[in-house]
Amino acid sequence: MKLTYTLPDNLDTEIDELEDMIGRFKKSEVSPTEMKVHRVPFGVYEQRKKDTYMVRIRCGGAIVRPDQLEKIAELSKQYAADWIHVTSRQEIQMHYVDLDNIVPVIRGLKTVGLSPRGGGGNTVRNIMAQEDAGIAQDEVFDVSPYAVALTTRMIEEPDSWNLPRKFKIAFSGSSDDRGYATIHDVGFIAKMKDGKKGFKVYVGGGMGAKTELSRLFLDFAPEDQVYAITKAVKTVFYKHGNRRNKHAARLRFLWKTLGEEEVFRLINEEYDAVKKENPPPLAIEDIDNVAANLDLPVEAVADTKDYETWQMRFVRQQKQKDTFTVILPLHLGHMSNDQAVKLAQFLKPFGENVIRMAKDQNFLLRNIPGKYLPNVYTFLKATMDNFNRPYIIDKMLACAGASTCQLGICLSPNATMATRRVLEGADLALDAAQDIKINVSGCPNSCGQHHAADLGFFGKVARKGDKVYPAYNVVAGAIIRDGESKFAEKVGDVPARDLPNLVRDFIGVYVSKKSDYKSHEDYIQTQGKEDLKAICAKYKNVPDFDTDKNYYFDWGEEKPFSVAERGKGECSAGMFDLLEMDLGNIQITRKCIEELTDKDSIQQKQQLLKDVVFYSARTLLLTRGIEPKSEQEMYDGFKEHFIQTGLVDASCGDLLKIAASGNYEDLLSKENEVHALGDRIKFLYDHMNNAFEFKIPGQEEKPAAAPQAPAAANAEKSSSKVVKDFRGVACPMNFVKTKMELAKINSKELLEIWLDDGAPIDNVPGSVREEGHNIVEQKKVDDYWSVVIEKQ
Amino acid sequence: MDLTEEQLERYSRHIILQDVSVEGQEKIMNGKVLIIGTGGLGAPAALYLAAAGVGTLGLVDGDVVDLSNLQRQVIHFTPDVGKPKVFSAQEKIAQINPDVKVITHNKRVFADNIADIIKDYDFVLDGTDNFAAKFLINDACVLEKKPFSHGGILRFDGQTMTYVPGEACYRCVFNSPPPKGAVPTCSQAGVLGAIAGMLGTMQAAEVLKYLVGKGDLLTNRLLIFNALRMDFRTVKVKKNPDCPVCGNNPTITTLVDEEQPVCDLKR
Repeated sequence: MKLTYTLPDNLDTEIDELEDMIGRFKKSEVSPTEMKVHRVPFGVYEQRKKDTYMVRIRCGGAIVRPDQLEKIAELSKQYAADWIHVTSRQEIQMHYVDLDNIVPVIRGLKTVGLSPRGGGGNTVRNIMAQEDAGIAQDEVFDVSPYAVALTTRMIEEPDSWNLPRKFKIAFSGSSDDRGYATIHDVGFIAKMKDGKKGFKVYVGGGMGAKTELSRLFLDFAPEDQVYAITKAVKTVFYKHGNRRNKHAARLRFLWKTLGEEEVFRLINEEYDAVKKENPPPLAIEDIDNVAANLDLPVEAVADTKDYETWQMRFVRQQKQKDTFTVILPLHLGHMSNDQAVKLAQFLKPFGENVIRMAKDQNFLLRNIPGKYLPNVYTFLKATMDNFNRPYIIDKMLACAGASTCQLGICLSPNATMATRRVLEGADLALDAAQDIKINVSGCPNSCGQHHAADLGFFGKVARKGDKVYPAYNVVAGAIIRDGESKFAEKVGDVPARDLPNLVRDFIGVYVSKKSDYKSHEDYIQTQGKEDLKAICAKYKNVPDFDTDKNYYFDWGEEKPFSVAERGKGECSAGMFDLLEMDLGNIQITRKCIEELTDKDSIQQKQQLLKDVVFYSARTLLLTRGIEPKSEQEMYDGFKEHFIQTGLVDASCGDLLKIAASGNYEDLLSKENEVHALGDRIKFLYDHMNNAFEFKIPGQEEKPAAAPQAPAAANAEKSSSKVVKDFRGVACPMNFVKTKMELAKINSKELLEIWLDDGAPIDNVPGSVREEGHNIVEQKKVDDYWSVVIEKQ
Repeated sequence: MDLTEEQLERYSRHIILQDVSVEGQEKIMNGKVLIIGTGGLGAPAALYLAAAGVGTLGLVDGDVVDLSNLQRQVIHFTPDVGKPKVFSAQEKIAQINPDVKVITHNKRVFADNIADIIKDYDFVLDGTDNFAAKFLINDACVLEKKPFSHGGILRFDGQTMTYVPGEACYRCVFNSPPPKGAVPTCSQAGVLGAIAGMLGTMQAAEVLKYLVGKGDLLTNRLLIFNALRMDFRTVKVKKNPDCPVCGNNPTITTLVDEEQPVCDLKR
């Protein structure tokens, strides 16, 4: 039985490289950007507290073994915060790790077969499986072995670490889609056909600032095709994903830029290509779910009433006879290191296959023999905090929020905590509402999964007079189920201050009306949304700052609310950051040369000239898939890919030779050529499209050497609506770009543009209208505007 | 054709114009324009057409830059004195707009070479300073069915008209060059430098309108201005059925050189 994924052979080398890079970073030989580009795909994120890092550990199929949990907790004790964190992607995170401790942590994890590789950045992220796979009454078959085997395969492949953006895969065992297959980049839902195992395959969905449901790719694919299909979709994404615009990079944006037909055609093309290579199917080993035969005395329970309540709240019968799953609620996914060690040690006798992580950030303890439930109860009661609270309280899901996330707007965990206090103090039958899924995100990115909630919130900035205050959009009524999936819809908004009251009111109303409806879903889809609107209206009025300052402070904050410190996201450290850094190096060095005076030595000048050649040669090499290990390798690569291809003038060959020779004196007489080389690199960069092809006016197209298809030209054409993000583009260039896009589409076709508030929205639509085009829709989305134009 | 980020910005003030837009700018960028004479008229015209992003600019001139040229021929600078005008102009164009491809013809036009020179261009701009060349350009363009812009300046006066095949040509209006000595040359009569700029840029505007395909060209109209009075007017002209080159029974069917150019004081 292969319960967890297998680490790739080259992991040691990669860890060594990371170690080397950290060493050089500390000596300032490596820039923070360069460091970031290596660090983030390793699942290591910088936290808001400077020079501390979070390590996100991959747990394929939501599985962690007790011995692994114990090791994580021990490492956390030694090197990180005094708690660990379970994510909504079914992983475990360690927080506040110092730079020096990153590598020891990663090496420690490796001893128990774990790695954070791919935990962040533009990578294949943790592969999810529904948390009750293998034990659910309704499942077609156990999908976790597929998630585990696919993880093993994906993390062996180098292109998994260098995608245009993150790439998420999930498995569900039944059409109830508890693995969220219908909102992933690639989603598999177990299905039987003619007695054979297989999957219904969905692609191109996801949650975020722009959510999108996945689209059905195959109604049935035999089980041995899981790898080939994933590989095909990944390759299409690798080739066609928009690498330049982080906000439009996920696979799901291809629906708009290429059109559904073209995307499916491309996937099929790659799928055929993969099939021709005939890769071995995934090595699937069934995972047993059996209650262990323990030689353990059964403990007696003192408080039977409390025990029964606990059973009602947290114990679920598995499809295996007399075998149970225990929900272990972790408030906001947190568990102390000590608790984790104790839990791991307690669980070891129950076998290896006893822990899963649920996407609501709780632990699930499975394969517990019925007779030992009292033992589990007694252990948890003695070990865990806030034991046996109504499930709805800890089921509430929140993203990390603005305290640790550089993108956050609101402090979602604090709002959630405040809600918990309000609920605990309210006289409500909370257990009657335990089906309700309440999710809170601090910003429009869907890390808190508000789009998938019964009642969801996502943070925003609201204004009253000249003051800003924290607030949340209120959404409701998501359904995630094969063929029926839909995201939660906006029903209103609420000041952060009143969020807990809104939740309390809603639960009160639900509990009182519940008996009239078939299910909580039935209620929310019909009356629930109306009730919520009414509740939102109740909290509409925000008092002035002078009347009640509390509204202008986020939960748990001592300073008035501000978004000034919001940083740029860490998530998308990518290739373009690196390229731009080297371009900047070229410019800076050239400026230094200009500013040299007679007092400066000639050696200084020749060194600077050499640096220009060095950076020029390095800048674009990445786009050809080359990461040179030595300077000579770099010059050789540049010669092969840029000089021999005619992209750069052959005369530059001499410059490289001099630079490589170590004696830079001869560069002095070639100063002009050195500058021309710098200019040429900038020129090439400016004329490079997202597929790294150079589109030089008046010249034949030079295709990229990397495996790139004719992407960009097609990408711009589409039968459906094209969306262009002109946020951050000032007047009148936003109008110029709009006209450029309009020129590409046919009459009556639609173009959606995003514009900043202020002058852009005041001017551009009017100018567009003046030219005879039709403004179909103009609406404010968060802090920007979406304008839909129909071409004349 | 996809404009690059840089081009979008460079040409943004064109693109914003409803009558130009992206499509018009692309036409400009695909345009091939021949400027005959890189002197008073050709210099400003070449500068503006280069700045506008005309894809290919052909330059014809056999002269070298003279110190006396610099008062009005603004594409040439003091250090260029003695340099062939086409090369001097080419260097400036490269600096204004490296997107523009420049083809130089370091020679004068004559009956035996003009047809070959103009054949690859979409539009010809006459920036010459003598009647022989002006009539030769007219005849060649009529015979080759090339649109062109005529321009002439003297003292404080300027005139221009635009020919497109089928409409009135220069000979429809002026049958043949004036007798030698009847009209003084620039070198004899003088010219206000700025009016070269005024007329050359009008011609450039006509070229751009033609390339973009918008507006009313100066066809069948002769624009005349006097800068002393600052008086502008247009005179209607008609296609002449008896025109020796484009009339019903043309007598000019092959190109011949008219009498030697008159603006030859320096040689």
